[in-house]
Amino acid sequence: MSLLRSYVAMRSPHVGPSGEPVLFWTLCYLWVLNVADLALTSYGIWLGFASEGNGVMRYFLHQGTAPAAGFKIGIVTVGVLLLWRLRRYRTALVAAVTLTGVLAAVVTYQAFWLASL
Amino acid sequence: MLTVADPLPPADISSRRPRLTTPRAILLGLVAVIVGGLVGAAGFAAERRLGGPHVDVQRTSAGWRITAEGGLRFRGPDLHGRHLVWQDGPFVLLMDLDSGRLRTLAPGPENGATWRPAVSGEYVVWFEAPRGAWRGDAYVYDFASGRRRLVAEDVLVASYPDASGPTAVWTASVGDGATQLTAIDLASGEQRSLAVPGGEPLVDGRLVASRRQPSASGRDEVVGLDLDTGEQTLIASAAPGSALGITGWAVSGRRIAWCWKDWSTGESRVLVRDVDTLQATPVATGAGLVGPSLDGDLVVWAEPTNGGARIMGLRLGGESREVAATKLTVSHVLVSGGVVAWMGEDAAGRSVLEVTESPL
Repeated sequence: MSLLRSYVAMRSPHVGPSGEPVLFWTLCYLWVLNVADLALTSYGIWLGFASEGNGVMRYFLHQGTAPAAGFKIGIVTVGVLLLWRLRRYRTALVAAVTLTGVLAAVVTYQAFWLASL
Repeated sequence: MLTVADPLPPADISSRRPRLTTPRAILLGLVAVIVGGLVGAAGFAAERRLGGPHVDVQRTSAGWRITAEGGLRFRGPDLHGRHLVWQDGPFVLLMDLDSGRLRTLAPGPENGATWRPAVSGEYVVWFEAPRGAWRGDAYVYDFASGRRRLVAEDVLVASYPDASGPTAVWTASVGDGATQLTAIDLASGEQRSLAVPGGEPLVDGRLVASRRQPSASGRDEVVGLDLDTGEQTLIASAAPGSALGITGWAVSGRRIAWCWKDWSTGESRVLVRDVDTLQATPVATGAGLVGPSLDGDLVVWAEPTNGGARIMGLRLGGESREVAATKLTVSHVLVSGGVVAWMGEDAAGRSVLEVTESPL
């Protein structure tokens, strides 16, 4: 962790005073969107209209909903905590905003698509 | 003189930590979600516009008119009650005739091609496969659960499927030129196979009507097959040396209807036969008749006219009546539950489905 911090500190300027609360809420949204992504993907697969494109997740979904949920929520929780540990650096905020935007796009697409079935 | 200032006392970190619950921070974080959501919605709309099935659905005074767009062609429509299914290019579409809502049932994410679907009161069944493949997987859509699931894998498809209630039937090649009729209970998954000499089966209840051309005679015939007993009844067979062919057939209850066409004269005849009594009832005669379709004692067929066709109907024992007139060159007619539908091509060569309530 200290190595990572040193690397980020060399590369990334610090965020302003409002950066930390924005990062906090962005990470909250990211975590919630990740759960929504899991729920929508599982529902689409259960309906028979979707398949998991990610090989790793496909393996865990094949094992069952609980292992898939454990892996997906677990790995994103670790990532969210990692970004929170780096909260003083602008890179963490940029990464969180980018990931949240991408995941929001994926979840919205899935929601529209499932509603159209 | 320079003086060195006293070092500052250690800062109180807790007092400098920004509050995490400010509405401004909540809203700023939400911006990423909103922007991402807008991108996702735009992507969905773009994909629908560019890659999905393209049909123009219009409500008419009598029912519905559905026109193929994007150069795709309709094939193999089937009707049951308020549900219409058909193949549109590589897609299988289901339309609810009450709301006009369209659903794309196939192909699934693994496949790129489909064959003609069939609909019963509870299920839609169809084959789909990777593009160019002859072996297909049979899938079913369950109205009750809204789920799509695989019911048979790697079938060497020899006919399109048909469905009645929970029963689906099709014929498949099994090697050495042999074929078998597969009947599957879509609720339990239980399968039953009967060796048959080819044929294209339609099913209603436990009665299958299969059109086939046995290699021994080379003549078209229609047989009735009881799924419970396996008993087969010859319903119609072309006379030796005749130019008769069977251009359409249908089954409902214990009746089977079919259309003879004399290829030497172009004349067609529609008849209905009761499987138990074998009593045949002539229904219509004319040039180039299309159909028939049968629902209980109601027979529907199409008669070509100059610049279109007349959709005709008859209740057995009654008089034939015109159900509708159309400008389409009709290739299929369907009747079920008081609804009549037909498919054909308009003057521009586009596939069109028209649906109306039956006046009979």
